[in-house]
Amino acid sequence: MAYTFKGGVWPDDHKYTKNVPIEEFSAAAQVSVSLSQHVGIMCKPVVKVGEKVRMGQLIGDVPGGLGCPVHASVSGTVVRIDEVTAQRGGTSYNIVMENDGQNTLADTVQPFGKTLSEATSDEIIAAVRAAGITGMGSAAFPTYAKLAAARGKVDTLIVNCIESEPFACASHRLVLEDPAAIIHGLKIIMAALGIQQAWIAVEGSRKEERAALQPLVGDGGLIQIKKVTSKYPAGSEKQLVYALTKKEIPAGRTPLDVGIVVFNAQTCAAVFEALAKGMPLIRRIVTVDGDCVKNPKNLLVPIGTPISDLIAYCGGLCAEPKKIVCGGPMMGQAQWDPNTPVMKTTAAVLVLSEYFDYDSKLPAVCIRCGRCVRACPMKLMPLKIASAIEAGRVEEAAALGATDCIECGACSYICPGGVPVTQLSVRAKMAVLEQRRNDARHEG
Amino acid sequence: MNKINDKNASATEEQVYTMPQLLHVSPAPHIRSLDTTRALMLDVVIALMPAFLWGVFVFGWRALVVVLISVASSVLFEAAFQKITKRTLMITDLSAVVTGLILGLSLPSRVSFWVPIAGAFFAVVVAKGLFGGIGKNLVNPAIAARVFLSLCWPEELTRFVDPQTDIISRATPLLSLKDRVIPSDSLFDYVLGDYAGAIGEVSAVALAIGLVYLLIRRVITWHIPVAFLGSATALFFFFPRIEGENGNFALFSIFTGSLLFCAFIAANDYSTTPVTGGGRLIFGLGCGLITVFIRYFGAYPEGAAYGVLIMNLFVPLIERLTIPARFGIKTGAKK
Repeated sequence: MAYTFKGGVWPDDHKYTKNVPIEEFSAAAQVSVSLSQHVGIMCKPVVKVGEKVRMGQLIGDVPGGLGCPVHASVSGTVVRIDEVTAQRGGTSYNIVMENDGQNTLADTVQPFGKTLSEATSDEIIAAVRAAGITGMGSAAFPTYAKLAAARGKVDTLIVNCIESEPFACASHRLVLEDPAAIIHGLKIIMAALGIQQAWIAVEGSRKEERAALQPLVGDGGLIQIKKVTSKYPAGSEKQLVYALTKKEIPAGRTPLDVGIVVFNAQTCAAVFEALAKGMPLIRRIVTVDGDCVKNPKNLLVPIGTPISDLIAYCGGLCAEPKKIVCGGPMMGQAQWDPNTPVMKTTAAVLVLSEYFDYDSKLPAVCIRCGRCVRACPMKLMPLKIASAIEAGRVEEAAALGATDCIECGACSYICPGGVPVTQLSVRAKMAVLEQRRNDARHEG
Repeated sequence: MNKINDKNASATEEQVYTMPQLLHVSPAPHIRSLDTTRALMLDVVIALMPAFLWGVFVFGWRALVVVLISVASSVLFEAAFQKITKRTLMITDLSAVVTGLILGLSLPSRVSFWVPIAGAFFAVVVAKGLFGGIGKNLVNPAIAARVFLSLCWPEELTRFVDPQTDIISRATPLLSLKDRVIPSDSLFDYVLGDYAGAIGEVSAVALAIGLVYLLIRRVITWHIPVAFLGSATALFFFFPRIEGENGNFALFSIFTGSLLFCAFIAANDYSTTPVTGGGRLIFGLGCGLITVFIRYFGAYPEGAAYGVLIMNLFVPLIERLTIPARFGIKTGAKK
């Protein structure tokens, strides 16, 4: 029996690159490394325009507070620093480097040099920070900060191998091609946290993933493989923890409150790379797919590679594109610039034609079918939140739990009337938070 | 390069696509389920086909004409109303077709041809349009229209034909049950649908096929049919109007009248039922109870339509009482 949770949807999985091995692509002429790829404070550049940089060299860092350093993903020259509009609004900066194609490694890229039994927890966490590792699922929370917060609070590590977003195969290919990196990373994290138990969560329908991982973990040990129902959003942290422990984590709280910490499989592999080779997080696996891409592929690319280069490397376009999405189709963001660089969290680049564009030509009307209520993994009533915010009733939206929304997109996906339920729920959430901030200001 | 290719490309050559200057930006999700409102309504139409075809088979061409008039006038009234009120024309969502079909199937085959037209007007314009259209209406349009018609023209609405004799029969099985007499025909005729009744309501078999289709296609959930039929059956069985005939009375009560038609199909209208499973159970339960109360104690032989109408009005209250416990509220982490 697979572990499961209530709600969710079953979109077509579109995993066309499931059997396409990872290919390396690092020939981009220029890469632009964003200085804000993580939750927390934006990095300050530590290199100047015109400076020669080597692969793995620190190029941006946060002096203090929550943040995560960034590194040069190629060797070459810094040509300029671009000011760009960040996806969620606000200004951000990209360090643009010309790739000399040599991949000359920086001197700082040195293995950790200690065995796990010798190393202290602080040393491991410092190494993870130095490597600039963030959560590679979607949240982009700095991994060192999560480790530091989890230390002493948790007894179980969950490694999340679930990729419930359609199209995305990055995690799947990693599990098949380099399961050892994940297991080594898992052991490093367990050592850093001083815990004995770990669960590897794998989708029930992914037999081949379990077959790849099973020989490395053995039977009956403290590291166990757990099957989770294949549905969306099984990879969401709260739903995953609930499926495995039957404990619901309330809004505003994290798995740490129930003694659990969750890391993405790719994050684990990045931790292993960082300690074994000293290689910071400068590359990631990206699924390039969508009905406009001629030869969909899974590519291992330097962070900062423009997505247009990835599309060109995959044979270019074979249909008229309408949207380019970074991330999966359920939660990914549509891009306005085809030269947007790959970030630490970009699991997929999808070029979608009109075929995927939902346009019924009729106005969006809620017919009260209740499908969004059944689909919501947070057990909210999305239709009620949506109608409350459309009428400007912020308090009603708050009472309905709008701030609990995890923005998974299940309600919009399932809505027969074409109502943008997720968008309205997010608007409600923002309005409620805004009102709370204003109230706090007036009281203070 | 691409431009040159484009110019030289003949029709047989592969077309070359370039990245457009302007990309479409929209909020996630970027994929949608194929179950649109139109697809769901089409499924309801398909689910009603067995009952419709059976009705035409036993009641003849008049049944066909009555249903077609009902559907056509529903669609026309919907279009006209949307045109006059300057709204977007939405008849392609097929909801007016479903309303017209349900209304037509709930009429006797011998009604005058203006009756379905009057009913369609009440359903589409009064019960639905004036309340804001699909998703906003308080009461089930087709059932409201049927009740409206039977209040205004009771004579018209009771022109039930006995298919075995082809004469208008005043003694419908419901009336005989009301008089505490088990009808003399075999129960088999009632299950199959060979007796005096409304066009689409007579055949339990056809309606059951429709219900199974709707459940398999996940157009509706099991809650309302089970609660509606379950509560009515329990009352018929445990409190029969004919003593000692618990089983027989319950069976004849279920298979006559509009109980199955309402419970299996008509009452499941999205707009006028609660959105949660728990709410739908309460709704169905209430429908069943009121149906039986009216059949037992009311002036009318049939109460299913009234049951649905009255429960429609309780939907906002039911929804308020059945808000699901949010994730993390019940078994959450310790504060």
